[in-house]
Amino acid sequence: MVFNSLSFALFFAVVLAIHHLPISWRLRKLNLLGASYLFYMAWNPPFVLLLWMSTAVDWLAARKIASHSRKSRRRLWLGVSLAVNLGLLAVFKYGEFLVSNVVALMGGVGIDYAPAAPDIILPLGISFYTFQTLSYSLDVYRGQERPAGSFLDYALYVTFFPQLVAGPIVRSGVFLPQVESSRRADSQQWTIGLTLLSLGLFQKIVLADDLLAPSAEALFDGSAPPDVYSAWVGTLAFSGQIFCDFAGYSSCALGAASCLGFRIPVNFRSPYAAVGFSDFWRRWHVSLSSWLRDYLYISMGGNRAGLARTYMNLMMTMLVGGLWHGASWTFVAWGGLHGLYLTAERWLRGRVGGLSERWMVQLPVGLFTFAVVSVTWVFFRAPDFTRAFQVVAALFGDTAEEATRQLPANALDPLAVLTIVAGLVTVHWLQREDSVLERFAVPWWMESVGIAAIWLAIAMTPGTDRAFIYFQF
Amino acid sequence: MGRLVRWRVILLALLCFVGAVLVLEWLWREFGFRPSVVDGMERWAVERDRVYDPRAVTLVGDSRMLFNLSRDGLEDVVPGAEMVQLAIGGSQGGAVLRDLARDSEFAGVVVVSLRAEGFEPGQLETQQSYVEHYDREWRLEKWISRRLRTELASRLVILNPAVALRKLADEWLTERELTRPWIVFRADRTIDADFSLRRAVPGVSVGGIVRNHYEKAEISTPEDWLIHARRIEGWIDEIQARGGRVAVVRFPTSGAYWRYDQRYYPRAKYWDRFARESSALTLHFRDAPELRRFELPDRSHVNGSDARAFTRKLMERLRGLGLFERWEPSGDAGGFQRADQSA
Repeated sequence: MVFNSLSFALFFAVVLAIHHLPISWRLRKLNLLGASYLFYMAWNPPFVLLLWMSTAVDWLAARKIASHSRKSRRRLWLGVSLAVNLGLLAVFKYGEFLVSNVVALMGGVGIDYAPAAPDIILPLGISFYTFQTLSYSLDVYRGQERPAGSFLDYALYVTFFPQLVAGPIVRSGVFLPQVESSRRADSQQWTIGLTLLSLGLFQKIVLADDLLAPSAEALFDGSAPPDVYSAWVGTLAFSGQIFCDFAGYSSCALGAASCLGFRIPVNFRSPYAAVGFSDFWRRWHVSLSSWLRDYLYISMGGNRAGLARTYMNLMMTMLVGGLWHGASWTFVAWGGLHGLYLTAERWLRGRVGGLSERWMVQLPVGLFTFAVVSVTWVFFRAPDFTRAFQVVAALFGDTAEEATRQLPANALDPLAVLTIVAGLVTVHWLQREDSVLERFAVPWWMESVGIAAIWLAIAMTPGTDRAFIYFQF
Repeated sequence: MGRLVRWRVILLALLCFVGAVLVLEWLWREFGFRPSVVDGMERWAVERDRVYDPRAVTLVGDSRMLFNLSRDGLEDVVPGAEMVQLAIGGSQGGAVLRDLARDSEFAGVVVVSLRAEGFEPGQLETQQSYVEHYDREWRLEKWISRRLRTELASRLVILNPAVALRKLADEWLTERELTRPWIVFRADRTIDADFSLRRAVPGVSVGGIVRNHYEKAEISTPEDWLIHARRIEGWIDEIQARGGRVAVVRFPTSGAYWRYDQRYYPRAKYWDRFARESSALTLHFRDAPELRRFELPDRSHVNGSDARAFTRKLMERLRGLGLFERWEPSGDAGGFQRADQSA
């Protein structure tokens, strides 16, 4: 089920109504758990079995880890958790990719190997819930968290529908304490929740799908070589689209959770106002980048084993981060490029020290960061390397003779792209440290008018049935 | 107090929103806009779910089905019948007919709009994406969303795509004026066209478009074409073997459109040979003077104001040919059931 659908509105209204019935907290938690399974099964019912498997395995593994004092036993159970979760990912997400690479590899050495196509359906949200359950087992293994006392609480932590299929990836230490005692949203949480839901839907339906996607699709889904203008407009359109799509989903997730009385961590902190690439990754998809930092980068030694090893760890982390997004070498290249940027930045910082805090330095470096991040999105969005290199070449003025305009044939789209992206970057800069609303102390009635305008814009956008981009991960 | 302050933000927002919707709704209606639903794969899939209704008359084919037929017209001739509109504009109905043939649960009445070109292999798959979407993506939650959205859109002008923010902004940028749409999509997927509102594009004629289209098209020889037509005939046989009934209709075209149709697919060498071999009921508009009498403003479709009368004439003709002979009134609620099921 997607947030930008009327069936979700109906579903959420029923869930909220039951959540506010005068019944026990246990029954209300069962309502949330049942609703979460229903939310998931609305996509493809049989795949809920995988979710149950991941839930059950990590529940058992964490308890076993906590109950054993011998390191080897604890390691064994952690290994079970890793094997099952990563195994699920390997089969369902990377199975076809692995087979196609083996075939290509064998073809490269002259062996004609042609296995049957695996034809595997990618289960919705598998990358998110496996990483979430893994973080639970790893935290228990490291002694940072105790295993959950109740299976119901734990299952709700894994399955809680606002964040189930596209994050944020929530840590058990953040969520489990919240389910220990009864909760309903107070008036502030309701207001924040409804505002975040509205804002998220506006970002997704109006900005990402209606105004930005057409230009990005015209550039990346075409095959004719683009001219410089198309390359820039289409690339910037995707920079805006990916942010509005994913941050829109995260806002909806936070908003829905807030209406139910829960708090889940923010996933985006004005990423297009990042100054440098390490700053970008502290602001973009925070729940994933912190997961990769805590469970992969630090596990590999982080920056504790010398400079060369630090660079290698950074690179490995970003390559895995790239691959997490999709079973394709273009995602690996995207991750690899970010790994390079982070490595270069660390090297540079070691040579010239930190940046000045003066805006005359921060702003140009921030805009440079945004430009490089945008160009790097090309590898994330392009269907293959051929198209990616075509677009990158055009971005730098190296266009083919037969290059043509690869944008929707209307006056609105390029203008909308440039306006929205400029607006996004400006808003991100204005709220680098705190929210625009807090910063400028907007009167309450102006907030109301703003929310009403957002609702009106959503109502006046017919919709195109586009799924959230991060559902495919 | 703080609690009240927070709630009043949402309450005032709600008030502003409802007020703005009411004002805009009144404004658009004053400008002559009417409600129109969003038509696409999901709306099509809602209709596809309905083909199993024993009262269903399923319509397959191209835009002529959407423009020329109306629910009222069908109801006039076959009381109690449920129109299921599976036609898709700008494409040919082969893939949808194949889908119905392969669906062992389907054994209903089908009316197919096909021109000779629709039998060509290159045209057979033009509606396949709708079938695939239905097979792979269609599920309950989408059905609920689409039904709700359609119900709302068929009542509120503000949800008409013609007054969508994007459309308004684009029109303002390019033409600096608001244009009333000449077509309205009804909730039953038929199109209500008002050709008097349609703007002529300078230098573009129907004849020129059709000529260009045929000049680029791959046109089979009559012998090869008949082999392709037999594939479609196979699907018709499958449906009829299960107790269904299929009528294939060549809808009217006129002027340059008809002349080019005839130049590239002369009726005697193409359509008539299929009609002779087919187990389906076949009807060519040239054999139905009552259908030829309708004005076709764009040489291919009737005006919305004529759709009910056109449907009535077509259905009367098909009834005369025996399309509904296995069907009879069921007596309850003006019902309409297959005779072999009503017992």
